[in-house]
Amino acid sequence: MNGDRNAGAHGGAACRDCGSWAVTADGFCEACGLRQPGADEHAEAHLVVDGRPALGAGISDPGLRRVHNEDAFALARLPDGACGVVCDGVATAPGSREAARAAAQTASAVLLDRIAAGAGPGEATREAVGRAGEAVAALADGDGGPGPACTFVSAVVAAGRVTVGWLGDSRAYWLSAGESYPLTTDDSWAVQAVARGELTAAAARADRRAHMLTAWMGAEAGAFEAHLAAYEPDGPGLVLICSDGLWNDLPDAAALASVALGEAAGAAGAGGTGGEAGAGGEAAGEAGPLGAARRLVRAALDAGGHDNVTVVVIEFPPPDPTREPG
Amino acid sequence: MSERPEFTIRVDQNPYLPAGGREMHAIVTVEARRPDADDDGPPAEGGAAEIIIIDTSGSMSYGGKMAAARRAAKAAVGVLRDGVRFAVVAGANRPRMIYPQGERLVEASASTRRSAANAVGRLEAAGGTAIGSWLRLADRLFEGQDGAVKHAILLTDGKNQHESAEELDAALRHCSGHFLCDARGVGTDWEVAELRKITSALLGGFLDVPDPKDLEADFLAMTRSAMSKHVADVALRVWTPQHAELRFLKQMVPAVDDLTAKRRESGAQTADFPLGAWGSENREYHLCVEVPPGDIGRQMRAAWVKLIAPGSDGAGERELASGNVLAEWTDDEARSTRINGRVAHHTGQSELADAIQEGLEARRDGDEDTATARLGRAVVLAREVGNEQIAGLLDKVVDVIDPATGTVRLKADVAKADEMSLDTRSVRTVRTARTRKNDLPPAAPPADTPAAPPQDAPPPQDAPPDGPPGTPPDEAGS
Repeated sequence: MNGDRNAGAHGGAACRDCGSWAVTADGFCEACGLRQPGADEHAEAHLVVDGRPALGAGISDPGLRRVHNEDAFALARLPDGACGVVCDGVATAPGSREAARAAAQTASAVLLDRIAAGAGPGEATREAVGRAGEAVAALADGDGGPGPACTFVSAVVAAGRVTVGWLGDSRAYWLSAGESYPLTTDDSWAVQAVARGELTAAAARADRRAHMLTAWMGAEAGAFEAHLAAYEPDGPGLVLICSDGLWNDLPDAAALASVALGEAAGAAGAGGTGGEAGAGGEAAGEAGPLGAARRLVRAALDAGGHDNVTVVVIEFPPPDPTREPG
Repeated sequence: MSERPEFTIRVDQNPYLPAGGREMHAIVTVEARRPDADDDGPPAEGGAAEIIIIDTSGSMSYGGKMAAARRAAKAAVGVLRDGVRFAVVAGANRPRMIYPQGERLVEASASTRRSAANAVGRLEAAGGTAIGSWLRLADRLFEGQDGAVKHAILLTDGKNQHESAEELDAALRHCSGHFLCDARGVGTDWEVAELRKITSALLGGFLDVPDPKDLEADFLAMTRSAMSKHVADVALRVWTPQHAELRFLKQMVPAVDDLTAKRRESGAQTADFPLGAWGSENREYHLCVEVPPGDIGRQMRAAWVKLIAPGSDGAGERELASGNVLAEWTDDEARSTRINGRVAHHTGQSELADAIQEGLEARRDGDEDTATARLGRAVVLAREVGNEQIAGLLDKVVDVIDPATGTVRLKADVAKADEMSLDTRSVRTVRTARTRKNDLPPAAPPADTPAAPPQDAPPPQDAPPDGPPGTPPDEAGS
């Protein structure tokens, strides 16, 4: 008990009936009382720095049209930063929900282990992808049917550097008050068709094959090579990793940035001082990575919530609890 | 503090509502149990204070009442635990300190108990009855005993004649929430409604003691019960959804007491209801909430009940237990028309108490038709809920011609004591051992209704799985 009378609330999702940000862990809205459909499928986590939500937050929601959530995420604090993983189970393969969870958890555990042991973020990411792929392959029952499969995207935000690894169409973005841009390129039919010069981007997106994956993690994926990329941002911002449930409706990095940074909370989130409104209950949820994650999920639901939507948001640079940033 | 009682909340209800249904009833059972129950249990965690108030008005000198009251008060003093701060007060036109001499409390010990018993032995009856002034003195004596279980025992034999009804009401408003009071009416000249009002305001109970010789045993039991209270100032916090209305909250066991008006707002959507002090015991409450209807298939938390106690040493309040009252809208009539057995039982007991009180009032007013109809209804209800004590008391007031239909005739000669006993005990309820398995079927069930609910709909009482990482475990039903 922390003395807060809303201690039971975790505010993970907006209520679809009354819009309040106060759905309790058991899925009931703390304002109108209605239980949210798919409430058991919703998950949220955030990191805490100096007793306040800061540094990173993740939300996974089944969306408005699906009963089950086949997305998964993991989020962990590193010695000087944080790492996150988002995986999206391929809905046509049975067991993909478990695949996504196994991949996200395995990768996150490997990242933590290896980085704590002194490995560089690139090396740690490569190892995490490999071990996650093994974990997914191990789920196949081997009787010939389609094995479980999932996409993968990870981000390591530490020591002035952002390192992402991915496979499939889950994305990473750099979002800031200045420039915003994707950090990944989808392994999808649409992207490849454009890359080969066969179609314009708009025509490719409109094709019914647009979302077909050309690479994934799982039994039928064969030997895969994950993509790896590293960036050294020169100012504060947010690293976003997400499933296609978010970017299908909001593909543009600048649009995502304006949602994530919000109007009032923008400076706080981007400046790494997400805890400054920490004493103010509801306001604390709105600033920093948790507020950004909520606004992003809300935007995806407002756009129709056609698919499972999962976001992990990590602050750059990580807030330094010992001194005032900037 | 392993000896602190463990509190649990259980909710019995039929959560299903028909399309457009708004009214949800539930029985909330609160139980406190000490892990290692011995005879007495530990002393109250914040200490305890006890004041014994004895009516010494002139009428007490008749029929051996004063002598019985002296014996009863001595017996009560004798079972005060060491360290309990106590006093004995004599009530007449004005209250008077009997023990100790000044306006203060003293700690119980072998020597103070002996001195108090000696002082009680010198009690003499003279003067009138002004109960409000007695309670105000008790209130002053209890001052500064924050966090303690503060309890008073009030004995009276007459009406509150020497102060106005307004003075008594003002005293009750002043004292309410400060201490608890159980009362006893001895003889047949006191007023049932008056003691009901006093004890309801002060979260206690009252009984009639027609024969003064029974007073001693009764005081012993009452004082022992007060000594067994361990946690003071417990409250039931009720959350309700936006646009919902808590229609009523009634204590049903051990006795009917409507708590609705004791509502204290404690948050945007929460209200607190004082439940007094608790030892090892259980009590049942009937809650009714009106909610905005949801679509078929939707579930709602219609109420969230939490048991709250103040923290020790000025720490924040503690949540002792919580439970959920659910609502789920269905087009399956077999579900929505089912009545939960415990809800039905307590609805019957509540109506029984009303029927008796209204019937007796009509009888006193000479309205024989209303009295016959209401007391006849009470005969039916007493049978239905299995309250044999009340059925026996009704038999002394009416001749039952047909207990099934409630056809009765008022008796011509009714002893005053019997009428008062029926009135007093109309609110004393009996427990039901029925569980939700014994839900009553609708009055005329469709012939082809399956006995069990379909398998594809999970019962809403099921605890949801663990919450996502970083969230507290669900507290439903704990």
